[in-house]
Amino acid sequence: MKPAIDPKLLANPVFQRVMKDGLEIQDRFAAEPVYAKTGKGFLKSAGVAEVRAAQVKANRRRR
Amino acid sequence: MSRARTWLADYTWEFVVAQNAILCAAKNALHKPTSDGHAATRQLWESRHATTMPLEDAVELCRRCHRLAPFCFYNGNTFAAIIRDVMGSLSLPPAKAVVARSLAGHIVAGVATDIEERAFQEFCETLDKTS
Repeated sequence: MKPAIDPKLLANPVFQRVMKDGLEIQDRFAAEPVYAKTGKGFLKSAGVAEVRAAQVKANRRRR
Repeated sequence: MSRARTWLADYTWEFVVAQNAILCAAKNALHKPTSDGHAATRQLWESRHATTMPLEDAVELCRRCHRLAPFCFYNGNTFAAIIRDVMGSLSLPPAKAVVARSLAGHIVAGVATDIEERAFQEFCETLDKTS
């Protein structure tokens, strides 16, 4: 299924921000619905570099 | 800072579906609603997302929707990215923001420990006190 996404939605800054973050964390999640099947979610640990990047990002937001 | 707000009002069901479509496309995964979870999740999300609720309820709504698995693939980061964005809207000191975001993300991902859940609850309780 390849739905057409409303261009207004694509241009929405909130949508863009969530999309960017969703893509950045994508490799930490399982593609399959593991949580629904097992009742236990799956999340790969963030590496040190990822944690550091999150801290830099948070610092930037604050400024 | 008030604990009860319309935290998820901006994130319509159309928004959620489009996010999942993009995440699936990035990995060449099929973007498709599930036969058993999609209708229930949509109904739950549409009935709740625009209402005023405490932050912990917003996190719980995202967690429940993740667990209901409305899509065949990438439900986890679809809902985790939404709650992480909500957490970003709080004006917190950087170190606290990283921790709060991570706790909320872990809860939605379904991997939070009891300690993490308690820590997040305590964090939410501080929101009313800092208003």
